[in-house]
Amino acid sequence: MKISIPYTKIHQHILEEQAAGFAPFIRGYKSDCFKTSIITNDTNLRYDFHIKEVSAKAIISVLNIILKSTKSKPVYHLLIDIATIEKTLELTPILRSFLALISKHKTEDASYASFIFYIKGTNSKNSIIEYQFAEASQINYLITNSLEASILAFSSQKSTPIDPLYGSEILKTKIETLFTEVWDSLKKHFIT
Amino acid sequence: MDNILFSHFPPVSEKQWKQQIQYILKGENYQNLIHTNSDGISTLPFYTKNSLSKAISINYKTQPSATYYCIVSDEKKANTELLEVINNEITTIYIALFNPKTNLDTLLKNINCELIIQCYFLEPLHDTLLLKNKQVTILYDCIGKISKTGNWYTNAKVDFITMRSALKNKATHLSINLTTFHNAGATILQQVSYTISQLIQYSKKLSLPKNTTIHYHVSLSTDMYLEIAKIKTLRILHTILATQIGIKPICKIIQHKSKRNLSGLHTKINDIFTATEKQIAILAGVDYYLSTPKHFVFYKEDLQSIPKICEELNNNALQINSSITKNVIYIEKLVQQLLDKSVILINNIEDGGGYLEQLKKGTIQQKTAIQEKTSTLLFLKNTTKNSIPIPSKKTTIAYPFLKSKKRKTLWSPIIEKQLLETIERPLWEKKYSR
Repeated sequence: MKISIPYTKIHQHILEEQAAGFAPFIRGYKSDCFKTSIITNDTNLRYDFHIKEVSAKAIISVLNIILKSTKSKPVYHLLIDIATIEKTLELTPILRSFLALISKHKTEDASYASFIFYIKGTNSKNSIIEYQFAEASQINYLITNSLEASILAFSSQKSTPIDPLYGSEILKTKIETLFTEVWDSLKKHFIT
Repeated sequence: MDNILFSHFPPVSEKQWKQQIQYILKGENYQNLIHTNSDGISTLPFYTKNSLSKAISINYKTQPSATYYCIVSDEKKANTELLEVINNEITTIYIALFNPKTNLDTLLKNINCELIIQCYFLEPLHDTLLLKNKQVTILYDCIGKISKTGNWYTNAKVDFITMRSALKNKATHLSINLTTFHNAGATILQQVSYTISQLIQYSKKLSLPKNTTIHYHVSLSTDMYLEIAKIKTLRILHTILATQIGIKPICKIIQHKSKRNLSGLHTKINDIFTATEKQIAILAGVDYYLSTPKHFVFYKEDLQSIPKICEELNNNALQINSSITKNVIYIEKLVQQLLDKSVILINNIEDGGGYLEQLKKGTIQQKTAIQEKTSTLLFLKNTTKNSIPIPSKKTTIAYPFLKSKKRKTLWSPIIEKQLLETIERPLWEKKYSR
C-alpha cells in the first residue's frame, strides 16, 4: 500500500508585505538571528515605562509621553507586566509600529527611537513556553527566578525564524483591532 | 491597518529582506542561517506569504480534555481514587488496565464520566456495566506490545484473531503508540512514519470496521513548533490513509508525559517540562492530555494529593488560545516537509515488507537506536555546563531510571531511554546508593 499527499497549488498574488528590520517593525526590529536573553529577578533594572494591561488606553498613555519627549536618539526600557503571554504578542508589534510612526513624524527616521522590552515570567512552570513566545515577539529580556533561568539555559532552545507566528489569522485580527483603536486616538498627530 | 501603515512606510520585498540580512552578515554565507535537523527538515531565517506554494488541509475540531491517568492494581482503592478525581472537576479518566480479571463493577462503581480504558492484554472485557456506560472507549494494541517488549501477547496469529474479534464491539477501538518511538529517542520523522506504518499493517492484518476510531498515544518534546507540526502531520497522514482503507478519517490523539524528558533527580525540571509538554499539546490540538502517572514520581516528598493533581491538570496558566498557531507559515512549512519525508519513509517500509517485517529484522530498532545516540550526543554538546543545583536527599519510592532487564524475547524490543540519564545516573548513584 502506497500513500501520496494530495496537495493543492497556491497561486500567490501578495506583493505588499511588511518585513522584520524595516519600519513599521510589525514583524520585529531584528531582521535575523534574534535571541531573547534571560535575566534573574534579583537584577537591578530601571524602566521608562511599566505596562500592566493590554489596552488602547495603556498604549496611548505611553505614546503620548513619547510624543511630547524631546530626548535625542531615545531608547525606552519598557516592562510588560501582564498576565498572559498571548497579550504580549499583540502588544509589542503595535508599540513598535507607533514608535516608528512617531519617529518618522518627528525626524523622518523611523528607527530614531526604539524600545527595549522586558517581560516577567509568571513562575507558573511555563518558562520554556514563555521563552519561546517572548522570542517570537522579539522581547529582549525575560526576567525569571534563578532556578528557572538555569533550567532554561539547560534546555537549550533551538533558534527559530524571525516572527515565527507570521500567518496566524487570529493574532493578525487581534493586532489589527487594537491597532485601529490606538490609531483612532492618535491619528491627528500623523495626518497633515 | 495595512492601508494606514503602507501609506507611511513602503512595503518590503523578500529580496530586500534577504539583502538586509546579507548586509548585516558582512560577507558570511546566508546559507549558514538555514538550520537543518537530523531529519533533513530545514528552518529558514524568515518566512513570507510567498513561502507556501502548495497547501493541504483537513477539517477537525478539538477541545483538548484534561484527563486523569490511573493505573489499576486494586479495584477498591482505584474506585475511591477515581471518585475523588471526579469530585475535583475532572470529566475524563484514562485507565491503564493490566489484569483481565479486574472486577470492573467494583472499579467503575458510581463513575459516570468519559472513560478511556487501555487494555494491556487481549482478553475481551465482558462487563455489563461497561455496555451501559455510553462514554467508554476500550483500546487494544498488539503491534504496540511486540514493538515495546519484543513479544506478542500469545503469538502473531492468535493476537490478530483476538483483536479482530474484540473490534466487533462498538466501544472497542484500536490504539497505536507513538510514545515508544519518542521515548526511545527516534526523530520526529521516524515517530510519525513508524506510527502510520503500523496502521497500514493493521489494515492488512485485520478488516478494520468502518466505525473504528484510531487512538494515537503521543509524547512531546519541548520544541513547540516542531511538535505542533508533528501532531498536524500525524492527523493529515491518518486522514489520507483512513480514506484509502475505509475507516473514520478523524482520529483521536492522547498525549502522555514524556519518559524521554524525565529527570531522575530534579523535580523542578520535571514540573517545567511537564507543563511545557501540556501547553504544546493544547496548542497542537490533541484530544486528551493526561496527568503524570504515579510511577513517574520517584520521591515520597514529590507525591501530590489528588486535588492538587487535578488543579494542575485543569489549570491553563498561560491562557493561550490554541488557534493562535493556525495557518502559521513556519509551522505549515514544517508540516509539508514532514509529510513529504514521511511518505518516502513509509513507502520504503512498505517496499521492505511492511512495519512488522522491518521490526522482525531489527531495522526499526537499529535506526531508532542510532538516532537516540545522535540526539543524546547533540544534547550533551549543546547543554550549558552551568549545573542546576542538585536537590537535597529525598526518600526514594522508585528507581528513577529505566531498568533494562535481560529476558528472552522473540524479536528485539525498542528500548526507551531518558535523555538526562547519562548525566544524572552517576550523580544519583553517588547520592542514593550508599
